Amino acid sequence: MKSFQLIDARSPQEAASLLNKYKGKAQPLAGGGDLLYLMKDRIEGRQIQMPDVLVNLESIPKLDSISYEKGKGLKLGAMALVSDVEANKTIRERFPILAQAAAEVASPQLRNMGTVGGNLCQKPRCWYYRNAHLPCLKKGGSTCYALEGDNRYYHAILEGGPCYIVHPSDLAPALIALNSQVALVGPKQSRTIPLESFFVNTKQNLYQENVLKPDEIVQEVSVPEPKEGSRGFYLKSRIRKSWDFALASAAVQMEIAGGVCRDCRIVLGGVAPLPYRAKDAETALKGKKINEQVALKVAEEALKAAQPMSMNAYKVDLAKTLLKRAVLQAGKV
Amino acid sequence: MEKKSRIRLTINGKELELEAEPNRSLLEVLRDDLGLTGTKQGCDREECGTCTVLLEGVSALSCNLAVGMVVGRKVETIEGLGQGGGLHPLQKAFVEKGAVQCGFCTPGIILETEALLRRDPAPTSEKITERLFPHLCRCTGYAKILEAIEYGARLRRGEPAVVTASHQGYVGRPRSALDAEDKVTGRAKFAADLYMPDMAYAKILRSPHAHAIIRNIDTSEAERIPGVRGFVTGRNLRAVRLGVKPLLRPGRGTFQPVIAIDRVRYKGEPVAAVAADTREIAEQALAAVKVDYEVLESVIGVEAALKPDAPRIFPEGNVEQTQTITRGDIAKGFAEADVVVENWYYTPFQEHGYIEPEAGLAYVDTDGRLFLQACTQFPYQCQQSLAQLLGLKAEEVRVVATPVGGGFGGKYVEHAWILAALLAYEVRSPVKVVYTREESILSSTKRHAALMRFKTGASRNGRLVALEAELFMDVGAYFDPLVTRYTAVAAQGPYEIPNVLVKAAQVATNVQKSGAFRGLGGIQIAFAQEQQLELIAQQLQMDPWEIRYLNALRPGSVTATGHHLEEGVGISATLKAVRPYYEQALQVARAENGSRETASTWKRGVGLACGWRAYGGQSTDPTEATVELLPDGTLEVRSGLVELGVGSTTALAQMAADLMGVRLEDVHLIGGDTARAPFPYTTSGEKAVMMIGGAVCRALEELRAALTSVSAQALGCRPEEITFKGGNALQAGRKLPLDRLAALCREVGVPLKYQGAARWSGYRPLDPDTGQGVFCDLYAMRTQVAEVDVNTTTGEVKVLRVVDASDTGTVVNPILLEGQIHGSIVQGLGYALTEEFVPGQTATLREYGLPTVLEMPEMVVLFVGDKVPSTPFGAKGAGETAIVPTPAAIANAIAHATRARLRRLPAKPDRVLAALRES
Repeated sequence: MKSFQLIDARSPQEAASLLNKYKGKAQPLAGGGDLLYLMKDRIEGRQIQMPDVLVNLESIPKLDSISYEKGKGLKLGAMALVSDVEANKTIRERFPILAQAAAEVASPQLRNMGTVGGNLCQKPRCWYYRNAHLPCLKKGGSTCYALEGDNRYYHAILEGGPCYIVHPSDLAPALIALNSQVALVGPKQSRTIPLESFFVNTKQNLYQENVLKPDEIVQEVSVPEPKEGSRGFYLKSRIRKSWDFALASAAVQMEIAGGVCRDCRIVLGGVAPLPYRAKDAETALKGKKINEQVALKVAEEALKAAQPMSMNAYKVDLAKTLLKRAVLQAGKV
Repeated sequence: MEKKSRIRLTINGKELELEAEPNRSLLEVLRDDLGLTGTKQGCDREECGTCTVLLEGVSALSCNLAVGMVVGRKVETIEGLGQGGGLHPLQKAFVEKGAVQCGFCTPGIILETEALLRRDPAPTSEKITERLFPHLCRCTGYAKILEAIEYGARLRRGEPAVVTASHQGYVGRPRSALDAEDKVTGRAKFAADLYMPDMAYAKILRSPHAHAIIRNIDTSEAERIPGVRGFVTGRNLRAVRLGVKPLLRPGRGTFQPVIAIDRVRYKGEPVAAVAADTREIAEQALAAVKVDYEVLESVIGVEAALKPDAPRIFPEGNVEQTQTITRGDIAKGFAEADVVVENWYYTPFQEHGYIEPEAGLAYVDTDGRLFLQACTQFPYQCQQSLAQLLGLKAEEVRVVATPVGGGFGGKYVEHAWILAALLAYEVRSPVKVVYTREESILSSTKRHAALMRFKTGASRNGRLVALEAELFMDVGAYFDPLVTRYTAVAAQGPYEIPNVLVKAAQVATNVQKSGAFRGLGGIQIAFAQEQQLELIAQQLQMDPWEIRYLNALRPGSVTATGHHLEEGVGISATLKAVRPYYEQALQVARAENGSRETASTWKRGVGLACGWRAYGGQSTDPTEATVELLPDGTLEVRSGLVELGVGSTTALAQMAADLMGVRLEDVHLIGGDTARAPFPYTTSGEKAVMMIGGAVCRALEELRAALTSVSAQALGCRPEEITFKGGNALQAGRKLPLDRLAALCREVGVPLKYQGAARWSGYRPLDPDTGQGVFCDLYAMRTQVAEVDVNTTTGEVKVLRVVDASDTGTVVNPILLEGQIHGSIVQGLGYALTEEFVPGQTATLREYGLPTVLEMPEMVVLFVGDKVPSTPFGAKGAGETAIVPTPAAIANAIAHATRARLRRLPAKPDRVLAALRES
């Protein structure tokens, strides 16, 4: 393992200041599930350096809180455990899509350690990226090995290029479908942005999957209270039933009245370098009575722009199937 | 190196303060600093569950916790359970229910369960599997673990233990494995658990190229790093003969260097090995080694290697035809056939996936002898190789096998411990090596990938009349023709076929060497041949069961190699045994598929497959063992047997105890130690009970004869009146305890130690051109039924149930054999559905895709078949080959459900969807 210095932070601002102090050499440490793994394997390159300093967020009081206020919605601290999100009674009742997504994350032990912030900021699972011996494009090299190589599982069918990673998070599609906001804290100031615009694709930034500055941390995700009659569903497909990342996943949150979709948000996971908001599919669903045919049409629209790679065309069908089922499930009254 | 801090922790109820670098993993600190080696390291990447500890009562993976993250918290390890004497109820349950095989994953699973039971003393089975699925176990197939957890939970709630009535005799009775108690408590010392003062750590530099010439290796800079003790490279070993000899000839065999000399032939091949004071220094040293490579074009995959213009790995070419079997007249056979089916099939590499990575510790003792302890299945060959490499006499090298944390054929002669031993000899201090998971996956041997053409002909009534098979076995970077013989012999399946032409070739490619693996050569064949049978049955509109039963080998049948089969031919018995299950499954499938809404994307299917294979280790060389009656009246048995966690030592002890009329605990087994049990033997090929058992039985017969005559004299009776029971020689109510008898023998000068030997008496090497001969006296045989659900839109396959009937003869220990069969089935299931090794790329257990408890099907195990007259107690090995028919049965079931035929494994979603589109 790459050696590092561990510094306990006492507040989000202090954490950001520490990151600023060790600029470029420090990273925040949440549950460590992904970061320590990357450091053990020394996944680094010209554009990705291993940190010398880890700023421990666990020492920050109350950053792991989950709170709910009727009418205002849900607030998830960055250090809230995925297992707590999964088990939280309010979340299960009022935000079932989020509890479903949390239950799909990794394994129970990893959910005991893994945090909301860490889940959103985890690095991709492309096995060329994760191979310490390959200087891939995303690490600052000149080649994307997935283009010519084995791109069957964890590579993009949408918005790919020049690097073809997919975003592995399960929580992100569900939280974006719920129209969440994310609060980011820097050493001097904070900002709150829609979670959807937190993520970027590899054309926008090849080396980082989100807009966090080097001295910013995720502080909180807030989820607005869903409207009356709003329902959601999250579905994930993977190679083994047990702990594996999504080959594809679908999050659908919609308001229904009399079997008709009034409004909706649809997000796909595991198919693009970022959680993929399928706006055309949303348009196809709004105002329609939910049935098999409509669901199929929605799925077709969502994947209309798909450009599969040499070996992953099946993921187009897979994503369509998942989305169709998620629409029908969410639409079930 | 990070500065040390004072770290306070509570471990197993004791408050500790230790000095450690806060960035080190809790796992490393527990093992290296605190000696708590019951917590095992399986992957160091949070993917196997083996390193689980309890953190504040909640299960946590200690590999990915920096010790600085757990300051002031309470940690519990396996050593903390059952404190105050006696086993914890869960530990007791794991021992009794046969849930412990190699035992490497056991402590983690027990702690996980304990965490669950503290919160929920009576969990549902769903709750249990939900907690268990992140724990990988490669041996048990999870079934007995689930049973043990449920039983353990009952014991933990204070419900009474189930007491089994005591029986006379041991053979045929379920007995816990003898070593299970050491394994559930974490006391068992695996190779990685060994430490010595002044011990150096070995690390190995590996080739980043699949094929390259080594122009130069420069270690000079690395050697100057403080803490580096020495290097081994192909260069400073050049003076001695290198390599690991392939086992069988004829056919080309290439010596595989233990470390590359002037050329690397696969990505991951060892190029330099270093010994240094710490792992970190060793890694730094490797980073400072300069290797100048001239990269060559490489060949990956059989198809690529077969092309005429493929780059050559060896000057002689990449392909060698090594075994032909011909019987009858193949042209006439096909001319007579009413149906002919011809197809290509491909089965990929398979990683052994044992949870214990390769490890060893070597040192030179005060007498100048090289002493190696390692998790090897074959200490005797390690001894030979090391003696050869260093120019020593065999007795100057001692190799002792530690408990093996899963072998399955993968832990033969490994670079890992050979290099550690060479380093220890070089630097004259103890050297320990432990592979990382990535190294283990990258460089260890794999099951041979196979490309196979099968052309099968049958007459209208379903009789098989002709088989032509072309088999291309991917042996990896070094030739070794052994597998071609196994596959060629197996090609006909357990069926009578009068006209056969089989051609088997070994193909070299730029990947790690292929090697022994459960069901060697049988599993590939079954995948092809059993699908061929299905296709023929379809064309003839015959029942898949009928066509198999009609053609099954019977006593009196002659195989394609000309072997007249007499005993142990139970294939039809196994077919009969599964028939009711098969028919019931078909009925259920019809009902399910009929009742599901038409929109349902799930389809149920039922598949049948038979499997057979010659037992391993053919030769006429005898397997030897000694037995000795010790002065205290107990029995010592010495043999070459290594305990791989499959329970063969327990079975051996049961046989010995029965033959000599002593208690099981009075049989002391010594094995796998080249000094104390100098009887070369490879623990493989499910032959332990037959071969070592045979040798032990012979030796015991001699001992019994000697003891009989001495006790008859002492008791003044005829020898026929003497029996042995309860640790005594008995005659008409009078008894002579064995310790007294041992003393008497010594007085009258009768020896108490005897040697026995067993061999395959019928073995006649196969003629390489005609294949005529006797490859093995006996064959393992079985039939399986698989029931699957296939999702036609996502390509997901669920295996619901596998029924296995094996031709076992006498079952020495039913609970342990069942455990072997479960484990084999789940390994076969993984090979069929989730496991995939992509050469040079697959690096982690998750990427590889070992099956978890969630993939585990219900398993029904049936023992059938008659006692075999020629083997000890009439037993036949039957654990290993349960893997053979599983992928074929699953493929047939998928085809039954959907008409999609899979001719290539694994059937991951992408491939199932592709097959569905084709169908």
